[in-house]
Amino acid sequence: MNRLALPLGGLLAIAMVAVLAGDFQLRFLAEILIIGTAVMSLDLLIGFGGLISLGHAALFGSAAYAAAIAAQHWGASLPVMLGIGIAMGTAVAAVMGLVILRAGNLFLLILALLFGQIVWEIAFHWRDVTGGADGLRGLPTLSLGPWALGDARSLFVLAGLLALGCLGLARSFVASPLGRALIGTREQPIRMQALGYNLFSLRFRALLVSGAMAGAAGALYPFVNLYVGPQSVHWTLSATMIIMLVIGGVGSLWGSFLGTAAYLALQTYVGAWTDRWQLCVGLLFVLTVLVMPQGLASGLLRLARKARRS
Amino acid sequence: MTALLQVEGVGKKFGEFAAVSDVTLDLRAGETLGLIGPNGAGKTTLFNMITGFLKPDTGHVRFDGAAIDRLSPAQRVARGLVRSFQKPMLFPALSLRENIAMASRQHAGRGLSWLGSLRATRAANEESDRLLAESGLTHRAEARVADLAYGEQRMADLLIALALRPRLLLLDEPTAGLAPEEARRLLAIIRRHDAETSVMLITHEVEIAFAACDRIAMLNLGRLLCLDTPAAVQAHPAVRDAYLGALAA
Amino acid sequence: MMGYAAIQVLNALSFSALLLLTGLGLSVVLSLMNFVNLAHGSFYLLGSYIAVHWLASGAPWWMAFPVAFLATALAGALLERFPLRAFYARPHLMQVLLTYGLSVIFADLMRWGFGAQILSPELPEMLQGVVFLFDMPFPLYRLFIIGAGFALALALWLLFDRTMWGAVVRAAVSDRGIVETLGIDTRRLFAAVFMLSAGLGGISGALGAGMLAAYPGLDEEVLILALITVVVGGLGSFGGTVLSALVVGFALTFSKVWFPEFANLAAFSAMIALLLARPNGLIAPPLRQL
Repeated sequence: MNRLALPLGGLLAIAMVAVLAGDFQLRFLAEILIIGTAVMSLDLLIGFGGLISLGHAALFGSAAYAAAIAAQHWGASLPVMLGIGIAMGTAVAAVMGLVILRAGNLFLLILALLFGQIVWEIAFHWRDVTGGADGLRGLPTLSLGPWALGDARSLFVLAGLLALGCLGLARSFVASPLGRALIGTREQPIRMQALGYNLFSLRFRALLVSGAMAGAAGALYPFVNLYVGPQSVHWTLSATMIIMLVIGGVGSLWGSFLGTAAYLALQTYVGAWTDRWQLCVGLLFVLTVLVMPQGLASGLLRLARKARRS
Repeated sequence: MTALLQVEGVGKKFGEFAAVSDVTLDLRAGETLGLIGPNGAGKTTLFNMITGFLKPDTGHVRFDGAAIDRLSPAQRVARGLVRSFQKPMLFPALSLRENIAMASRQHAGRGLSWLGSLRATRAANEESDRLLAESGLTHRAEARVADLAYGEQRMADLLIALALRPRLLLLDEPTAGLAPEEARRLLAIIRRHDAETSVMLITHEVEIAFAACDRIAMLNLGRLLCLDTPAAVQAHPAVRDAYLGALAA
Repeated sequence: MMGYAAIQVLNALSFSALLLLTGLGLSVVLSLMNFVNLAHGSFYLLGSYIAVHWLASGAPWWMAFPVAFLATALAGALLERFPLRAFYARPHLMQVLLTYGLSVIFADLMRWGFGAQILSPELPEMLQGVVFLFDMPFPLYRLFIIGAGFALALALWLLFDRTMWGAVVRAAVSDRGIVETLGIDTRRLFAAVFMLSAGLGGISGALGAGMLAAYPGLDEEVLILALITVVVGGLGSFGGTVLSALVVGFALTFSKVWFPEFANLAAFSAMIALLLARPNGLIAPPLRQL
């Protein structure tokens, strides 16, 4: 019964919102769900593996580029786009893993940042393919067989299904032996070695799973955003993903969507109201860390527990 | 009888300080070997080198006749060489059963499975439950190990190691800080696995070494003073001077 | 050809000198306090702006550098008090977010205060112009950077290697427990080291302004380069940072010569390859496990 509650409730929520919300909201929600999925894939690494990757945007963004470039050549068929995005996210994650997972925690974080910068350099300078600083625009409409999926409603439903599917996968991952072992490496890496676990292979697999999810999200991103540019692989987006995760609550999975929504809503509303948006971003980071490092998810859970008790 | 573990001329220096120098010893299949010596004698350093956590500067380690010098700690575990640590090293946020299952899943070769992992999880939980029942901790299976009493944590640490079905189990001060009754229970569990598991045991408590071990190796200042039966070790003059004498005085 | 190569070597050396000073500042905080400071580039850029304005003001030019050092060290001291000090013991995740947020704030404040255009300092007369080497012109100021950079590095080496204070820092890097057992006030030690680190960032920015100019976004570029210098060198090793500043400086300069379009890509990839071969950096001090 409980195992069906999440998917059914999720589907119901998607259907209701799709019927009730207007185009602007639907596009905005689709963006939240897509970026939220990427943030959740980062939660697998940070929240469960203790692997602070400052290069996650490289996985998400390179999948977005791959899908956009493929769409320009072969048209934007949904399964092809998803396949390419997942393949790209996984492949980039594999290369990244070889680079960053050999080092200790502190180096890992810096190496991930550098790796992300390398991907950014490629996206920025390889103008013939990526459009350089201008990025890629004018993409064909996403389609599934005879149906065109370019309208806000279809994109929202698609993003909702992606988010729901990835949330389910992420939960099963965390509950599986692999996910448990990942938690083990976070808590007691030395003991895990003494139990015969190969830490590299374990973390590498987690990174591949995370990369595949980020890649799936990245594949849809250009079609919702109608644009993909070098900012989508830049390390500032990686840092932003981390703050979204922290705002939502590290290690909760669903909190990622909450944090993404909070951040993007602030960006939309505060950004329209001041030209010093960058200053506000910085303050948001600092205040989050100073005031609520536990995030919204754990705050809400605490409130719910209190309400149940009284 | 053939030796299960052979340590040949192993040494390690930290800077100028020789933590272990030129230690040669062997452990026969089926026996329990005690490793005693004062603080800083090099017992834990020797353990780290046998289990691959530390690279020796000199010498070789052979396990079951094969050189294992180039194997990682994890690869040594796969051959049946399992260790515990001086302080219990558990996964505090996980339940006691999950702590043990972490080991039994890895032993079953399913430690890294994801999709289709239900059966692996169930089998591992059964194995954990068997070990918990054997040690009288069944009622604590669901407790987070962070909430366990110290004695229970020590026992959990041992059960995690046993869940790997070791051929050789290296225990680093397994009874440290335990009440005599708890220590006796723990040793009884170890003894119950005697048939398939040989044991190398670091201990501070000389009485335990003499009672539980077939042979005893005495280290002092990184060197092996002697390796013999408990009775012979007890009578050894160098041992008396270095260690037992000080205790008696 | 000979002349061209010599010029590029000197270019690389002047770049290495800047990397060395910023990298040392970042490295000492990282290895002593185990603290990731992503706002380190802000100190560099602040130093650059201070130098640009000082040199334009007509005050004695040579004072621009000590002034930049002191001003950024002071900024560092204030920042260390609040909020950084409370974060030395917090997880790296929180350190990263905090210092990244601070760097974004400083970047915006500096854009606000100093404008968004590219500012180049007015160099003093005696440092203007070029010298000829094998008939090729080379800016005199870059020779000054090389000289000043390596002189400062030497002074720092003496500070760390020959003074009591330096011995304490080195001991604390290899084993924090030691310092506490010696009864040394780690809070003051950390505060002093952080000030030194910020000051080094500032003075390298002041020196570098005459070569790289000053503009929004430079803080981030410098941060990335400094991070590369630190990881390639290996933590907690002065010699390693010197070596890696040279390696990174040469790699970047020559990749600009050989692959102008993909210079950073080539140099970064080379550094990553180097790190694959030596995951702990060029010179990794031996650490005791367990």
